[in-house]
Amino acid sequence: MKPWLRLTLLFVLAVAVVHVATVLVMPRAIMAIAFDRIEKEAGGTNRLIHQQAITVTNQRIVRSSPDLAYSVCVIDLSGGPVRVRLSKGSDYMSAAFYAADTSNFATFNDRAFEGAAFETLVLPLGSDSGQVAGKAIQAPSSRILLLVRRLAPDPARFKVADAGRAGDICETAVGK
Amino acid sequence: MVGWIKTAAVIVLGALTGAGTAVAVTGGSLGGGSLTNHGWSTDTTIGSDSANPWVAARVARVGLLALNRDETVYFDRTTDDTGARLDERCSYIMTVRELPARWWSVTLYDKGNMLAANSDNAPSFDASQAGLTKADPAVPTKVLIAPARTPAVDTTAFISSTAAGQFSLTLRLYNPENATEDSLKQLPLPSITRLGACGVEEAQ
Repeated sequence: MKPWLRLTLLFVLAVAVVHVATVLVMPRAIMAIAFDRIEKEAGGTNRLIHQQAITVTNQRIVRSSPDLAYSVCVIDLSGGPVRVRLSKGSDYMSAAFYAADTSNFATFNDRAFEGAAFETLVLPLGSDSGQVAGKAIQAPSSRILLLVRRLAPDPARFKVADAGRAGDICETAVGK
Repeated sequence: MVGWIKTAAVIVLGALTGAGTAVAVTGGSLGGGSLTNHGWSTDTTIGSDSANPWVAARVARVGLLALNRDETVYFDRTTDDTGARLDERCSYIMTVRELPARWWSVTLYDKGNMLAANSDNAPSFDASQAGLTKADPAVPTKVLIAPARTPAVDTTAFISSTAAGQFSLTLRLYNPENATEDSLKQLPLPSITRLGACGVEEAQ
């Protein structure tokens, strides 16, 4: 094979391999950074933190909405199932679960909540959900993220949403 | 020896090119998808595990933690109705009609996909504000998008573009009545009309 042809093919191969590898790694790498940042802010995993109204000075995630009250919990299932309980407000709210590859694998909004709250047990991959009483979801990775959104397009409604989420829970269920 | 050096250089150059092209094609706006509607664009696989790797990477970079379309549809826009890039030096009127969703909002983001660094406290316009600015729901709402309010424009609805540079708009539709591709293509999405000539830099 002529040297220039060999080098050209090597170049194309290197471009293709690294391009694809970069694209595949990017979501997990970005999500890992987000996990670490949120975990640090919360003081650990399996702890729900309530963010203040998103402004120019406190925004951390790209394209955050200034019209929503966010609560977030990095869920670590290495120690067993995690219990989530979210009070139902008077406005739109949703609980969205994200895998380590950023995919939004489960979402529940207030229209689907039964009763005054949303309660679920988040199970590690491979768990037998048939053994669990009540609602349970199985996570596709050992670390996932719960993001709660509550509609809060103005200060008055933010105050209502903030009060409504005061009793929300995201905690290890083992032993409880 | 020279041959090995050449080979290594080619591989390194190829790797850098591969990484650079990966970053280039996964940047830009959250929409950037194949579904377009009068200047707005979306990708119906956003947030889904069926998204191809390039969509997943783009969403991770410019719209991390987006919801999938069963819950929310995101439309993105970077141009006005003439196709010119949205720019803080220009003023625009966004005309919004009733949208078939439980709630919707339009938010302005700067080139870095963050809220524009200004203190105008007007980064977005949402359905609840639309209800307040007009008595007749059938009448479209006009929203001024500009670096400053102006009495010349007869509307109280305002999104500030101060310090936004070349910006984008994201339209969020929460719990849309119908999220099929055909339905999304036919939605009466907001128009963006530029007002006159764009501003020039102030005289020193």
